[in-house]
Amino acid sequence: MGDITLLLQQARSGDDAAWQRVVALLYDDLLRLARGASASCRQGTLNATALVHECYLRLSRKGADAVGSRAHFLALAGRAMRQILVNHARDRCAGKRGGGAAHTTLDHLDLATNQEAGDLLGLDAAMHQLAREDERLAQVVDCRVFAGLTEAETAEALDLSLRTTQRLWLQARERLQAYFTPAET
Amino acid sequence: MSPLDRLLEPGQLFQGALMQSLLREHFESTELPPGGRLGPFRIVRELDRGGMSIVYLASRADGEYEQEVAIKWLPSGALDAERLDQFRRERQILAQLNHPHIARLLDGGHSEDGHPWFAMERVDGLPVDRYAAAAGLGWRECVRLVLPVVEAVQFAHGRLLVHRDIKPGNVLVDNDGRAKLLDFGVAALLSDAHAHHAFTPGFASPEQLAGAPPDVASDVWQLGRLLQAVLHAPGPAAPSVPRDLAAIVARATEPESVRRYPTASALNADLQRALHYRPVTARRASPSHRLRLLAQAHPLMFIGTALMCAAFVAVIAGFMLHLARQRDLVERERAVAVAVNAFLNDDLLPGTDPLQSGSNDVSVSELIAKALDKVETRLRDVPEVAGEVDLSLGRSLSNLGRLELAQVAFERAVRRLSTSLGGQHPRVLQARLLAESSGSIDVEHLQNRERRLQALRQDMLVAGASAALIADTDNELARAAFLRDDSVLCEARYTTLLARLAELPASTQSDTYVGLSVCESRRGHFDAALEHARLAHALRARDVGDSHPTTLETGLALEAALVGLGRYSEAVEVLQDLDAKLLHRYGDRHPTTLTVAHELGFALTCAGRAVEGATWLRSAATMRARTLGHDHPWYAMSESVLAMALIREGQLSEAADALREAEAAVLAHPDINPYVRAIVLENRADLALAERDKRAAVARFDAALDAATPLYPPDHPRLAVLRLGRGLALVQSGENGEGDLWLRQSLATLGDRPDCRANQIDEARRLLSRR
Repeated sequence: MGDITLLLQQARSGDDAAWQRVVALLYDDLLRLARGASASCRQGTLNATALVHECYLRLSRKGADAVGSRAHFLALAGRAMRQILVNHARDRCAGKRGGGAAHTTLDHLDLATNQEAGDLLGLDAAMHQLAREDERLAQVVDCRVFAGLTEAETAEALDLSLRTTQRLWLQARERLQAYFTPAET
Repeated sequence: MSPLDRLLEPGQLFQGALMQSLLREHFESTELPPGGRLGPFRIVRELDRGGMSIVYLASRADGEYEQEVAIKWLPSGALDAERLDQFRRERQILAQLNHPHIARLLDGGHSEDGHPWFAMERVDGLPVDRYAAAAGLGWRECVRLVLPVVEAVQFAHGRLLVHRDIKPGNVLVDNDGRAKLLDFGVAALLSDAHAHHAFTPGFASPEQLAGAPPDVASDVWQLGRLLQAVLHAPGPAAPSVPRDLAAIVARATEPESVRRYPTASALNADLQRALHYRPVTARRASPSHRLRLLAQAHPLMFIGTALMCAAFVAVIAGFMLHLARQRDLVERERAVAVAVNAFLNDDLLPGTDPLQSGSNDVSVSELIAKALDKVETRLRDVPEVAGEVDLSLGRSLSNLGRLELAQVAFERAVRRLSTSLGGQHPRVLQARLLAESSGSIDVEHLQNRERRLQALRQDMLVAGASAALIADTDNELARAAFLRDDSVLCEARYTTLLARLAELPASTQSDTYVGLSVCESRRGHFDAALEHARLAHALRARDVGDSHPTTLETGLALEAALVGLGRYSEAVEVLQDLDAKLLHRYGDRHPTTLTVAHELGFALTCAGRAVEGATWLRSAATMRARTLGHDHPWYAMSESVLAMALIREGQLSEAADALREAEAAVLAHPDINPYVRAIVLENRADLALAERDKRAAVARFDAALDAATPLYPPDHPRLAVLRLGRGLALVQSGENGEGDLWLRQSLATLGDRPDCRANQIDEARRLLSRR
């Protein structure tokens, strides 16, 4: 786990392979957190932060000092979560195209999942364009949507004021509407 | 709402179909579907689901033989290569844990992606608490139901395994009403990161909650909680719990681990007592526990305790686990466990069942003596363990009367422990004290003992040793003075200790009282001696029971005081009782048995039963010569007192032979035996008087008085009796005037106090009344 330090540095400087390895390292933990978040959503509360925080503690205990501050990690976790979902969405779409015959009797749940997979891939493409224009806009979306952080937590994670965060969040949503094209499903 | 708005709404993503699909795919892949295979087993269905694990019913799928097993599967506990390796090794040890009340570990392994699993004997039944409630068991049935579980834990502790997760859910009662303990060692095999999840609320010991690795004490705590849960299971008729049983539960679940039962066997013993309506130790005032007492009980007059083999094993097991706690090195822990297991099973315990108490002490002694030789070869790589084992063996040998071997063991223990722990370590200091206090009583050793004890005491002060350890050393110093017959110094040293006694452990207190009593008797302070002997007896009877060897030891002090007060018949009764118990326990060669034989011969002679007395003294002398040698002062004592009995019977030439033996021993070491020398000289004078050897008698009494005067206070009855003898010798040789003067003077000093030489006193009175 010690080499996560190096991986994170490489990922930040645009090394995609390094980034995928970071995601793999966080995979089990993040999914556990997602399960907890999913359960707490059903109970009408969203308590993802506490779970992501636990994930951070685990990492820092294992010596990943370059994870840096807890706040920075929260932002990172959101981006990793997005990546995991995108990977899963791609797998589903690939599976559907590859073995179409086996899936002739898609049930309602499968249809909804496929629909959402397409939407998510579309969102991811829009996010890439957003990030090219203004990295901060994409970071705010990662925190709010994929890490489940509140506005205040996002402000802290990205070291912004609350007002700026709110402004960036509105701006990001508007631009994403413009760039968004659902992937073909 | 557009698809994008739905995705961007915070929280929605986590509930969305895509996320649910991902979660399902991820988590279901780590569970086992019915019909799936795992090693040689086929999964039948899920039985139970806990915080960390899922239990499946499975059957053998390899067609070898029909068998249903319970499989414990850890869906989120993938282990890395190193831990998997450890898991494999420890599984071997667990698989050998064969006990009728432990669900056996049959197999185990890990899936391709590193998830460990265990196949265990399947127990189809209710958790023990629910079973007890449903069956409406009374308290006695509840205790009988749980006792085999306590024994099972005891059995595993003897093999250096702790359970760590004893709770009703892990104790199932099968169709035959037998409770079986599940999951032995499973908690221990989980990785540290998961261990704290393994705790069950309400069943984790205080030290487990505090994060300490669990040990024997934790298991004892959990056994107490288990018993409590069974006794108080919510049901139609929870049994009323007697106070003794409540006290047992309270003691087992003391928050502070040192106040609990030290071992599962101690808990077991108390439960047995409760079942048989005998007083339980949990309700005795003293918190100091039995094992500690056993460990600290060092013989004053060479009475000790024969450690049962079971207790011995428990001591080592307890120590091992302690060691394991101190060293966070799995590999070493395992190596040590294997080495000690091999030592216990192959070298110490062959042919004996460690769980059976009351083994014949002689064979235990032989067993331990043989085991001593194996320590070196078996435990060479773990010196600190070898040191502890030497120490335990030494105690057992010393308590069994094998003093030379005990000495060897203790000296080795000191050497090994100080190499690994350093000379200042309390353990090393304690070992040195044991080496001094339980070692041989040969003459050379006696001379050097005090010097070494003083040096040890100095080292203790420098090392900041505990008050109890220093007091134990002071007790030894006082006893050393007694052993070389300096009763003045002995009494003074013990008296100094009295002032700080209240703060010290009961075992230290009783050592002081009993030692002081003996020395007071030597000094003629018989009333005080009787009182201190009784105090010591009360303390020990309360702590260890009234038939315990260390309690019996106080009988000797009591007897000495009674003899001093002239209450010979009472003394004979006390001694006969002691002799029967000691002979049974230690055989006829043990130093204490011999001391009692000697004292009984003396008391019988004084009570006017010289023929019986001579028989006892003759056998005491013979055995002391054999065990201590012909030049030992205690042998001289027995020969000398035998002479006294023979003189009383009129067998003067045999008396002369006995005295020659005694004198030879005294002459060999004139400087360290002033007391024995005085006794021998007194009997030599008595013999001359009885032989009517007019010329020699007066001179002999003068010599005896010269030897005795420095030893006793001026008004001591011993001196008065000697002066009375000199008076008789004077009268015999015709010097009536001077003789009468000596007689009157000594009779006045003696008053009405009875004395063993009642014949001489009576004759003096008769002579004087005639004039």
